[in-house]
Amino acid sequence: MNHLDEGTIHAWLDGALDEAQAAEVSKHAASCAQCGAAVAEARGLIAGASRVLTSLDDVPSGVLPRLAPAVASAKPPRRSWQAAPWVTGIAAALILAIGVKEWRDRPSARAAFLPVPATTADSLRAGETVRLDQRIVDSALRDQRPRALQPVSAPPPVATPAAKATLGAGGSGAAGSGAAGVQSADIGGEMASKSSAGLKKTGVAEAPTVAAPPTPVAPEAAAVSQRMMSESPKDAFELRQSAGCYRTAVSGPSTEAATQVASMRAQDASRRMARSAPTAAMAPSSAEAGSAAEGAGTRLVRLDSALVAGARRVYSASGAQIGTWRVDGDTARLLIGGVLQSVPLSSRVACRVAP
Amino acid sequence: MTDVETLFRQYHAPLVRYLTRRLGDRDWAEDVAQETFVRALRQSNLSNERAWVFAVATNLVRDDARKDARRRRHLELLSAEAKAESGDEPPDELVRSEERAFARRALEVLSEKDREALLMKEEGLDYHEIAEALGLSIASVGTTLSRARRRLVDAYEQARSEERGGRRTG
Repeated sequence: MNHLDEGTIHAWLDGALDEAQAAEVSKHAASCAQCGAAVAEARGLIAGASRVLTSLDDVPSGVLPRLAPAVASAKPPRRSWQAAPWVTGIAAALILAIGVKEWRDRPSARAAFLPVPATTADSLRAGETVRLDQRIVDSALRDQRPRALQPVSAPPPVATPAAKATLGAGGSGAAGSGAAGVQSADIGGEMASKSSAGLKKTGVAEAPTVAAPPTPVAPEAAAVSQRMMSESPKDAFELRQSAGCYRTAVSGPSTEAATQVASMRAQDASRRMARSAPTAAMAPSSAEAGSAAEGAGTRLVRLDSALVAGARRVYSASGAQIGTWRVDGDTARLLIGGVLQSVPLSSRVACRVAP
Repeated sequence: MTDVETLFRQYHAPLVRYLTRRLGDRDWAEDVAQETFVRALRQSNLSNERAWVFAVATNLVRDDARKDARRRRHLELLSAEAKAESGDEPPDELVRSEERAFARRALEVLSEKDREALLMKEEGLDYHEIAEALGLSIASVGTTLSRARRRLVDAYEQARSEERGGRRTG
């Protein structure tokens, strides 16, 4: 037998040769010093190449180099798959089908949503924050245990006096037009009307939908239902364009319930984030560092674009998951510790993610 | 009709990893993966699902890479990685981001076919699947992989030594 060529050695080490060929190569490699050395070298190359490729895995998302403000606000480049509405419909159906299955398989996933009164969520303007009705937060916490989607005696989802006060006159118009019921402040709070005909194929229409206020519907069920109906590829694309770091107002003293929500979500995330981005801490870029110290009333948060357990997550500077977010027009709506905040997308700041 | 849900569950994670390594951008990778599965919906029958999924994704990347905006974004990311930031970064992260930049540079040295074959092998595709996905003969997969591995490791080492040389002179 002639000396082994490098391709054959790699094929042998990769287990791609049939039994007879493998036996022949093995025998030759054992008796030929030159080929034995080549085999040893090939083993080194296989391991080395693998190691080099592994170092590529630590890739952040949503923290691409800062776009100039004009570019940031420009419409994202149009891509071919966006142009075809039927593709969007199919994708929505696919995402929905998988989402429903996932959700049904994992009862705890239902815990990841907090209901927000529609009126509050929809009428919030950029820069405003609203603390949610404590009863709703409490109710969502009580309902953590896995159970079927039977009706519960949830408190009526109405805007709290505090929320109304914060929203003032600007909020009242939208409040009147809101469908009431419950609506997720989560990413899925987008309007159910965006759902396409393709959604019906999946049978999700059977899931509880947002109904008139008197109908007792499990708040998180309705929120999840809405979320699933909302995430079209276009939405997902817009979200990814908007992900990144923002400076947000720090709300008042966090309540015990809000802390619980954050820690519960963090636990939930760590259990089910196998295929998602590693939780990452971030540091302001050098340009941003100067302003980091100023204004004790603000903090840097990172909006992650990866969809994990049906939610896009908000991370604090220390890398802890502190809430969820969604995009709404030109603002990002953040739900952090039971407080809904609205941040203009144009206010994105540069930051670096350190795993 | 292909069972897309099964396909998705089985191949989404390796496909996104393959694409992320290939593109250096997880968002972009997820976009391409999503488009791949949308296309799978239209397939009535797939003889080798894994080879099909990786082949479609690979072709989408080739198409996508021609688009200027995306390309620019990619290059921005690469240059950000290569700069490896200033001294205010934690040492561990500095080392990691340097290694990432070397690896990225080394991977770009490979020919497209070598790069794709190697990345597919790393995701567990066998020689038959790689041959099918890339239109190669099975006999040439071993040669392709051996060449790709050697070039990748050599280019990585070269990038590292250049960096060290640059530091000494700088």
